[in-house]
Amino acid sequence: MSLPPGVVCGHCGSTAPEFRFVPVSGDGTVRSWTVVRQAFLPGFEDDLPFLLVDVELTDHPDVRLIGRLLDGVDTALQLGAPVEVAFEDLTPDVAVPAFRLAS
Amino acid sequence: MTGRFAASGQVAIVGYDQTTIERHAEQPLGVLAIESARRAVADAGLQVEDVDGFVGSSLLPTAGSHRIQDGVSIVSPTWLAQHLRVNPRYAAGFTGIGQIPGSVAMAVNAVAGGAAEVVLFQRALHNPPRGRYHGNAMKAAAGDMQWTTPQGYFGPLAMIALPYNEYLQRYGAQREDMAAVVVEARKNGARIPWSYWHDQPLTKAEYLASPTLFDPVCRYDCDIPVDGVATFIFTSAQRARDLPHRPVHVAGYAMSALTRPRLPLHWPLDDILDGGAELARRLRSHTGLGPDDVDLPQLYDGFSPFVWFWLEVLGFCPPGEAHRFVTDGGIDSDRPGALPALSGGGALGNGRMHGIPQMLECYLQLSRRAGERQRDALVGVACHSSPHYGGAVAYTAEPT
Repeated sequence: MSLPPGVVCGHCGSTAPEFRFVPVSGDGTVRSWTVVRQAFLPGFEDDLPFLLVDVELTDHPDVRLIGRLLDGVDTALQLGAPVEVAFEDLTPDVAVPAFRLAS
Repeated sequence: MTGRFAASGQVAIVGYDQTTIERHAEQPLGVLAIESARRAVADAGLQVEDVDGFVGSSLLPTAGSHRIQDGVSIVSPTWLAQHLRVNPRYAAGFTGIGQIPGSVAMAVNAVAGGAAEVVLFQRALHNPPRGRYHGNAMKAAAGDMQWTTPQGYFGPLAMIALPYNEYLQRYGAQREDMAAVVVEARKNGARIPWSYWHDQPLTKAEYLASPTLFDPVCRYDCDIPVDGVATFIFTSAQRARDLPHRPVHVAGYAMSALTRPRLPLHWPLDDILDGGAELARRLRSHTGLGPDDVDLPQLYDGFSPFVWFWLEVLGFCPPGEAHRFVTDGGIDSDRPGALPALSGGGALGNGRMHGIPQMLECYLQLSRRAGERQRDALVGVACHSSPHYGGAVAYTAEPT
C-alpha cells in the first residue's frame, strides 16, 4: 500500500511496481489538523476558512491522507479522534476524499 | 560508513560579505551578488583571480508562480563566475533541501579534495516585486500534488501547520509559548545593522494579536521574503594562516534524507523528530561533537516551530520539553548560561535569508568579528531547514 504511487515502489524498491487502486475501509484517526484561513490558489477563496485533517488509515498505518473535515471549521478535535471517509464532489465528475467524525 | 570526517578541521572560512537585507532592493539581484562577491574576496585578503571554485544553491524558495531568471530572480554559481569574469576549475550548485549546509559541504569537499583552492560560496535570495510570494495561479494539479491540492492543502504554511499543531497537542503546549521564540529572534535581529528588522523588535502582545493564517501559524511565525546576498570564502586551514582574519574551521556536517514515502509537503511530526535524531547521530559521529561541546547552536527558524524541533533532536533539551525550555529563558541570548540559539537573529529576525543568519553568526562569533555582540564561543552548529529535510554544519574556532 503506497500513497502517492510513484515510478519506484517506496516499500520494496521495485521499478515495475504495477500499482493498482485497492479499496480501503476509509476509517482512520486524526494525527493533526489545521484551519486554513488564507488561500494561495485560485478557486479556494469562497471556501475559507476550512479545516484540514491529517489522517492515519486504520487498516494501513503507513498511509496518511489529508482531507477536509466536513463537520465544520469549529469542530472540537483531539489527537486520535476517529474519522471515516466521506467524499467532496468538486464537480459532477470529480470527487476528492474528505472525512467526517465517526460516531 | 561511520567515523570521523576525514577533512575535519582542514577547511576554513576566511572572509565574508552580507548585503543589507531589504524587502525589495533597488538593484537587480545579480548586481548585489557581484558586489557581495567582490567585497567578500577583498575581505579575505584575496583577489578575484585567486578564486577557482564557486558553489551555492540558487533555489527560489517559493510555491508561487514566479519567473526564474539567472542574474535577476536567482544567481547560480556559474552565472556568478561568468559575470565576475573568471573561469574557475570548479563551479557547481547544490539542488537538494538544506541549501546552506549542502553548499558548505560542496565547498569543503572541493577544497579538501583538491578540486579548488579558494572556493566562493554564495546565497542570493530574491523577493519578486510582483504577485504574492506563495500565490500560484495553477488551475490544475498534476503528479503528486493531485493527491493534496484539490483538498486545499498547498504551500509551506500548510506544511508546517500540521506538525506544529501535532506538537502542541501531543505535549500540551500552546501557541502562546511560541511567542518566546519569535520575540527572541526579533530581539537579536533588531541589534543587527544589516537585518530587515533592524531596530524593530517584536513584543509578545504584538505576536499574540496577529491572526492565524493556517492555525496555529501566524505571519510572525514565518520569515519575511527579502532581497539579500551573503558570500563566504573557503580555503585550506593551512592557507588560512596567512590571511588577515582569524579562520573558522569546518569540523563536519550532516545532511538528512527523507526515508518514508509521504504525500507532497506532508511532514508528520514523527518524521521530523526521527529524521532529526538520525541527523544528530551523523553529526556527532562526523565531528565527535555532542550537545555539551556546542556553545553556539544556531537553530533554523524559517518557521518558528523548527526551533523547538532542533532543540530536541540535537539533545539540548528532552523530547517534548522545548516549549518549556524556551519560555523558561533557555535560549535568551542575554541570560548568562543560556543557549544563545538565535543570537544571530535567525531568519525570523533578519528576513528570509534561508540558513545564512545561522552560518554568519557562527562565522562572526568564532572569528571574533561580532563587534558589540561578541560572545565567548568556540564551537558552533548552524542548522538549516527541517531536521528531517535539511542539514547542519559544525564550526570550530580552532582546527579539530
